[in-house]
Amino acid sequence: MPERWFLFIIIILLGVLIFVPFSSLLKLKQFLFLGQGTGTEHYGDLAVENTALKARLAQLWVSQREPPVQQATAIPAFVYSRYPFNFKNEMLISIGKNQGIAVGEAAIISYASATSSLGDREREVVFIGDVDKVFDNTAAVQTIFDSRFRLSVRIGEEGIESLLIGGSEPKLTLVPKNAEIRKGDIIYSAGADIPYGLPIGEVGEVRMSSDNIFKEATIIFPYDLSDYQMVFILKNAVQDRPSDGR
Amino acid sequence: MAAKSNLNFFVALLIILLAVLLELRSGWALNFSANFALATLIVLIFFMSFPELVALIVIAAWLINWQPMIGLEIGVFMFVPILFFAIRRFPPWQIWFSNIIFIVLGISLFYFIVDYSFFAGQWAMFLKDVAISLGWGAAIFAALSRYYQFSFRPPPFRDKKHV
Repeated sequence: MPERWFLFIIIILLGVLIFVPFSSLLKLKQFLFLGQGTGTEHYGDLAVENTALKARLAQLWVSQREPPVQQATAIPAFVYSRYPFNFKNEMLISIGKNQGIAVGEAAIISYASATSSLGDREREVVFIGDVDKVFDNTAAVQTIFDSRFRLSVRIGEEGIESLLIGGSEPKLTLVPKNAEIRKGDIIYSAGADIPYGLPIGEVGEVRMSSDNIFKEATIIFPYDLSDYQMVFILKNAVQDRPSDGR
Repeated sequence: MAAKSNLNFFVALLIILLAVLLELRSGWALNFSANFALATLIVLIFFMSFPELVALIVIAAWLINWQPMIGLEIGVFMFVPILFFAIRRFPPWQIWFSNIIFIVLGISLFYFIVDYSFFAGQWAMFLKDVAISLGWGAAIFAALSRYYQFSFRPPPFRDKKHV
């Protein structure tokens, strides 16, 4: 009989939990299961900074041919939880419709540059995905490690076009056969709905595609996404680019 | 006797919490998540009564659910153990073998219903999940069998025919 009472109490508690605001429950779950990560302050992460600096250099080259990137507003958000199965790679963040978040907006991670002065610390960013679903006070961000993720990107100072295909090991595809891409070249965003020129990673191993028509390449990411408990959503950042895209 | 029963539920609850923790941590750290929690719930169908199992399923689903609404994945996650609880007496072989078959079938059913294209696109990841979940489920089954061997209270589904 006491066992039945015990189960009854458990069920009552679960019933009460249903009526508690979802964000409060997420904070509890985050405390229990996410633990204390390294947060957004990666002062010594030179690899990430190197990627960002390469992207900035590539932007300077490209900006000789294109108008400057429009300034974006970055809204900070905590990572509440991550998709627990293997079908997707998504994270739930702490801002949503009520905070003005919309589907398709870019998600980035940000860190303070180690090389800038303390008085005027610059922040570097790396693109990690875009908003896939929006709820009242939360949103789901689909990361580039999701197998459904696709994004037009450019490679290196020449701005060679490619298609990034997401997955547990994202890769660059449809790189022209005669394009000269090398290991270490910067990859940056060039998608229609994503701010132009956001650094993504660096080119890894380059190989020919199975049909021998295009080149493909693996991607080296200078960060570990599981270390980050805060991301930023970029608002109103898409610029009007020339129709030829170059 | 009653205290022992509660202890049994608490033991199952601790195992579920450990499985959920393993599942979430492995997913975040390795970009691969084995179905530890589902495998554990399938094992528990042989040891728990129906109300206990339902309570454990709801707790596990609440911990694993990652967004404000209940998605298809969570629905299937809750449905599979209940389905196997209903048919657990039908297989003619011993329950340790049923445990293995049910875990393999349960994981496969989960993948098939949620996204059947996963089999074709990422079959290696599926096989890896089945192998790890099966290993975990077999270990939990062995541990619980040993635990009940010294318990005052036999598990609900343990009769002379199968043991």
